[in-house]
Amino acid sequence: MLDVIPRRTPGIASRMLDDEAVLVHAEQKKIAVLNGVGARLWELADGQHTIAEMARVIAGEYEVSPVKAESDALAFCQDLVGRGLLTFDS
Amino acid sequence: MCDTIHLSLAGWHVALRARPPAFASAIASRYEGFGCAPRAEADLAVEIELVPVRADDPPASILHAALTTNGEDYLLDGSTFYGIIGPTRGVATLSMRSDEPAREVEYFLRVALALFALQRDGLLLHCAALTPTGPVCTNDGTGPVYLFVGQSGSGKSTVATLSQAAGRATALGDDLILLRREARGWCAYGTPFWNFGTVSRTAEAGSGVVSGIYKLVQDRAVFAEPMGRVAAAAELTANCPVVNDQPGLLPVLIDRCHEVARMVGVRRLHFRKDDAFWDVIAQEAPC
Repeated sequence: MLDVIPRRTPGIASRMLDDEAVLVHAEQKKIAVLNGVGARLWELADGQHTIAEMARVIAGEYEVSPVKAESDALAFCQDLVGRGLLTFDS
Repeated sequence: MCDTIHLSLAGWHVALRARPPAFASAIASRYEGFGCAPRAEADLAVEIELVPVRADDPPASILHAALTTNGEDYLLDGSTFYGIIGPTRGVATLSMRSDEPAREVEYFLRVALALFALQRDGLLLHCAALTPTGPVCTNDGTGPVYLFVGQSGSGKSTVATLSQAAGRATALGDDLILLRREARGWCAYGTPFWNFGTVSRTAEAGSGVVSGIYKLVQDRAVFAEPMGRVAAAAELTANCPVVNDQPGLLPVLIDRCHEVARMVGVRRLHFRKDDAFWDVIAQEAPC
């Protein structure tokens, strides 16, 4: 699962504010707020990085172990896929 | 024959030209509390033509029409109506056949104003706006206005009704309020758009400096708690109708809402069905 590539769902507007991110899915009338780590993961979910690669970036930038970063990144991506904000490229 | 109605909405001059005259007269009556003297140059020039309904008209309403874009303009296009809104140019035109023209005109004006306000450093916000009559004041001596936001059913009209019944506040409105950035801060202005029957109000548009914004939370306890600026910006964004449906406008809208949240502050207000929440607000804003 860590080699899956997350991609932001088209049509979602995002804005970085105070190191957090506001996501708006206008069509589905959904709004989400991401904290600093979530906002960084959202930036990395550009269709170019696997979840493992995203986790490595997080582990390098924040005080978190690589294993914890992987499990957090995976849970984050699965949550946003469930909310229609991300899709997984195979 | 044409008739032009001149309205002042949040200080913006809206010239509303309607045909036929009987229709114009009905519109003038509906919005008379917001009437003002004619001016050569309107900030927003609106033209509305009501055409007689045809027997073979399909059931269609502008209320359910999708707003599409055409360059900098916005279109509402249906089998019985065609509207163009150019917020950048300050114009809006609507031609329609309708059995309920007043309702559809009101909807069209809401859409036009939401787009226009965002274009002009303002916002049309879905909220209740109240000016307290009690010991709550602002630094510059003008009447403070408190905004209460929340999705439909959160208690905006309840808060307004309770406040007025207890003599604690007067309402600028309980549905759509215009906000403008001014030298004295973010200011709130009443609009002709409110929930009929729930809030009594004077004929004139009220206004004042926004001194606090509260996100309503129904509860048995009464207290206020801080809300993060970004979460507050998201909450305000969710309560800006029309423009929060337009992906191209969202970056500007989110930034604008963030600015309001930063300058005014947004707090969660836990309240129950009485006016005790005003005591909490008064404690937070002592004179």
